[in-house]
Amino acid sequence: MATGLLTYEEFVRNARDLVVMSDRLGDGWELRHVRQTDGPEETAFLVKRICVAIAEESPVDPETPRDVGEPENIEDEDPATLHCRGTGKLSEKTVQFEYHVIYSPSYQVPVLFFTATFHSGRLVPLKEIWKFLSPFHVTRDSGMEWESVTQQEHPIFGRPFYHLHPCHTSNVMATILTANKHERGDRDIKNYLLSWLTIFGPTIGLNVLIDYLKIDSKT
Amino acid sequence: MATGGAEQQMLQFVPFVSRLDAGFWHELSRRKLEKYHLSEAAQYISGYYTNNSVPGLPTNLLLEYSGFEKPPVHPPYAFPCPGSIIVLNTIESFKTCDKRKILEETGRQIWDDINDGSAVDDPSLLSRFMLLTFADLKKYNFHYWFVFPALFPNDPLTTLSIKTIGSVWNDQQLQSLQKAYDSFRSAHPGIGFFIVVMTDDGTAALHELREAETCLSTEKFMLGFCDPSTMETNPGWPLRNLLILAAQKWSDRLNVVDVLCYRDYTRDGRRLVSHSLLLEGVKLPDKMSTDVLPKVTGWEKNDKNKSVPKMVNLSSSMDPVRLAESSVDLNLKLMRWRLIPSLDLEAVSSTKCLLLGAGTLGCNVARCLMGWGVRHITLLDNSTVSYSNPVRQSLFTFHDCSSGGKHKAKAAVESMRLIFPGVKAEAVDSSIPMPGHSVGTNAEAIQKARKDVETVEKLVQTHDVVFLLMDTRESRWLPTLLTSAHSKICINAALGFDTYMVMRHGFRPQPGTETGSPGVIVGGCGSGIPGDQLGCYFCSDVVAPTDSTRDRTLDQQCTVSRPGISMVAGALATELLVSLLQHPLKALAPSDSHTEDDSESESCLGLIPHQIRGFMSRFQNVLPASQAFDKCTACSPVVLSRYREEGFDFLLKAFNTPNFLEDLTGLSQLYAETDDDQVWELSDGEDDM
Ligand SMILES: [Zn+2]
Repeated sequence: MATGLLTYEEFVRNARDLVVMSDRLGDGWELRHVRQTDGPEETAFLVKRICVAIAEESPVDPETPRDVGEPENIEDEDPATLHCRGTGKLSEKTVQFEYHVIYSPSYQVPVLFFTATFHSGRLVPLKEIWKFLSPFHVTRDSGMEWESVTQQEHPIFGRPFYHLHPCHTSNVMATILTANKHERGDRDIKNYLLSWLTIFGPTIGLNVLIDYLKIDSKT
Repeated sequence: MATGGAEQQMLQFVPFVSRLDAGFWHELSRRKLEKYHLSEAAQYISGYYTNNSVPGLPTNLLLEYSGFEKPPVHPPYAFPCPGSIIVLNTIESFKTCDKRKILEETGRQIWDDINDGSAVDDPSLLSRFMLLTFADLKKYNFHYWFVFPALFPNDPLTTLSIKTIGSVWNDQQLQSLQKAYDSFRSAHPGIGFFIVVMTDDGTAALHELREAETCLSTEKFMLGFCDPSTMETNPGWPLRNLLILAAQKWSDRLNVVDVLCYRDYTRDGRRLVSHSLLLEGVKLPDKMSTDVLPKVTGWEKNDKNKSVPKMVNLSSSMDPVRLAESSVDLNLKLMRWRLIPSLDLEAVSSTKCLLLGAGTLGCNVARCLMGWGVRHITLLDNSTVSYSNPVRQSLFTFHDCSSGGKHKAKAAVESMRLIFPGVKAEAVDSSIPMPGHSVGTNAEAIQKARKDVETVEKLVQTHDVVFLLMDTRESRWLPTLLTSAHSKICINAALGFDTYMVMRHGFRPQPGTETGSPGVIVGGCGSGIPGDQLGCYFCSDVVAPTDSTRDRTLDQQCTVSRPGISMVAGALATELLVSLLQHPLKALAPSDSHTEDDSESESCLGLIPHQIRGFMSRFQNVLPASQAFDKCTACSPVVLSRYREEGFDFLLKAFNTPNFLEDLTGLSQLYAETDDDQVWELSDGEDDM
């Protein structure tokens, strides 16, 4: 029986491999390092951003962005500027999802942190996030998407993020990793992080390309 | 390549749309407080754009928290843009500063970088931008306005045609381009401007701009740039200044050029470049005098195409008070999502609670209610915090005792706000008139009693639930009567040395109201008493409240209980209320005393007893239930109707006249008939030594 746990060194190794695969697939994962003020060690974590257009009828952010003051006549009319805003040619409403995968030393598992922001940098409230995500995943009615999501200060940046609580992660991973070994023999997923992402990512709109599994099985 | 003759069409460019991530404003606030202070000097910052957006997405220029770092940290496939940020100190200077000058100054930097050749070596300088801000860090309001400067040529920029390269080039050419771009990218990461040379046999090669001189002679010379635009007919903003650069640097040998607007995205594992645009026959403008700055455009417009700055309020992600509130709420929701899907948190958090007594029980109940997300909590008490209190009364500290001691209710509320600023707690310093504690006939004393009654009655009316947590039995009489008269939920807790009693009073609907509750509820293995037929604290006591402190020895007066008792009882009182609020019948829920695990309850939190009587010496609870008593001195119909008729005058008689309540209810007669005065021996108090 696998433990479902991961050491920080394994996490970093897995993360590097994942970024190499992501680069091949143009999937946008990057590995960042931050030196925290209270520690000499650098902390590595994975980052990915996805910008999605949201339906026009989606609830808008009531507080932002707001115009302030009167329009100012400060430059000459320019015929070479395409005025596409408000014309419906491009999506007016977009939300950027930002995903961070951070190692939790206390749980010894990766933890998924995420936020979603409007253009102005204002956070999308959690209940709106699910509305935006619903077209992207079908498990919406199961109620599962709510499980374990809570607001938490980001362990590195100290600002509010949502996160999937890691208390069940090692159990789930132990089951998956053990099942992999028994059923698929040598065709199991070698990269713990990749297995983990395929299980926990889709609940919050982070789908994993099947191509990762193809690449992983070849390594 | 075709030149002249055919018709030229005017080129229109898709402007950048600014996009900030949440961390950007956090980092800006930190830098303003720790580094910039009052400096309004332009500070370095780096943004980026990408060329991998799916069609339909806006041409974002993104700024994130890491853009302040040097060198900046950007995602893979990002094209960095150097910029500067000015943080102004007042809203006035933000409004009145010379916008034309800022636009021209930023434009002039680009103009100079083009003419002195810096932009040929580092083409990212073509996408230089400026961000003007004013940060109101007290209200978390951020005013901001971007400039993405573009230089005007003397004549409009035109092209012969705009096509996707997929419609012009074959697969071999597309693949060759893709390969050529990949090797250019790995050699020059983050550089979004280049020269493309496409040979006749369909092989593409990419070169840096500084190699232009040697490439210009080749037949198939093209300008290329990574295009953030996703429009089929329009290139993105970076091309504007690139064409100006080409005109200023190479117009002696180049007046018409093809331009590749390179777009490159991967979706579902498939990479696509064929949607890139090819602008054939772009006519370069004439070279302009380097001494004169061309016209500049670039202030970001709003969605109505007006030049207006923006303001965003970030209190929901930056104001610690609001963060605490949403954290508390999300944490409670977690309980619902994980364990009890039918839990109605709103029913709990929206309940307005009045706590009579701010001693050990009051403190513990207040804390427990906050734990449940209850926001409206009012505490009433008329005593002050003394030195013995803080160790047992969990909202006080030693400092609350100094110089005579703070008023308990006030100190408790201050402490609650420190624990959770989102709480809407109020303190009321008032006493509760009691039967047997004679008010007398002095007009002033009567006036004070009248005022106290008014205060308590008003509070009862404006709250949903009243907790009786005071330290004498008789002080519970008036609020018991008032909660019955105004049909409020009443939760009562009283302590002995190692015993406690927690109960919900029977609910007394307004006269004439049909409760609809059946006479007797028949459950799986027993029956409960409907909520409106349950007794109150005084129903089971067959003596009227009198001055319980008068004839006691010292340790009876100052009730001493085991310290854990009040924590247990305070917690049970709160949890009893919460369970009750989850029942579909709310206060009318029948009493339920089944202790078997498998008994079904209509409240998702389990059974709802009438009373919980606990014995710490045996670590045991029993859950008795009792009927309302028709001769009750506090809640019987005769008492309630006399109170409704006579109001304060009735109360005054009860306060002043011995045996008035017993005579009224018929208790006196009952005494005469029996001499059974077995009374549950429970002192009610707290440790107020
Ligand atoms: Zn009663």
